Amino acid sequence: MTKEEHLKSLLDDIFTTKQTIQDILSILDTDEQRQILIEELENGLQDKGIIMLMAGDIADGLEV
Amino acid sequence: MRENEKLGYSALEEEMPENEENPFEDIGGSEQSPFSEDKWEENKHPRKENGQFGEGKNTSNKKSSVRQNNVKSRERRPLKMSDYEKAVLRDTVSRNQFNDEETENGYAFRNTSQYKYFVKIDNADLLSYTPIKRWKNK
Repeated sequence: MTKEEHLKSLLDDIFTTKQTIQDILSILDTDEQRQILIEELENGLQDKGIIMLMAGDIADGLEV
Repeated sequence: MRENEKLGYSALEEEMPENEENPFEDIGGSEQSPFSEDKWEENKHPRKENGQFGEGKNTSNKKSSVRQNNVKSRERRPLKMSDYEKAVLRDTVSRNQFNDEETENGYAFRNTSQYKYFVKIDNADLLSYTPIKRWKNK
C-alpha cells in the first residue's frame, strides 16, 4: 500500500465527503508530507478542522 | 579543618545518630518507607512501552499534541487577493456552497480554474468566509 493509499484509508474513517479527502491528498506532494499526516492520524488526531489546517501547513512546508 | 579540605571530605561524624522517628512521616509513610518492597502495586505505577516510568504512553503522542497545539495557535492571516481573484472565488463558492460537513469542520477547499483555495468558513448561511491559503492547480 502506498503512502497515498494509506492516508486515504485513514481519512476515509474520519471524513464522509470524498471531495475533502481528495483535496487533502492533492495538496500533499511528497511521501514525507503524507507520512507526517499519517503519524498524526495514527496518534489519534480526529478533529476535522485541525486535520485540514495541518494538511495545509504541511503542504506549505511549515513545521507542524 | 585544613586537613579535611585537602582530603576532600567534610567533617561529618562517621556514625550518624540513630533517629528513632520515621523520616518518611511527613510524606505519608507512617508505617512503611517508600523503599519497602513489601507492597509494590504495579498498576499504580504506569510505565511507557519501553518500560520506563511515566504516563504509560509513548513520547510520539506528546509530540503529536504539541504539533496539534502549534497548528491551533498559529495565526491565520487572510490571503492578499486582487479584486478579480476575490470575485472568481466568490463566484465559485456561490455555485458550490458549503455542505453540512464543511460547515461542521469550519474549513473547506474550493477550486477555481487557476488555484485551489483553503478557506475558513465564518458563516455558511451568509456564504461568509476567509481565504487562508491557495495552491496553483496542478
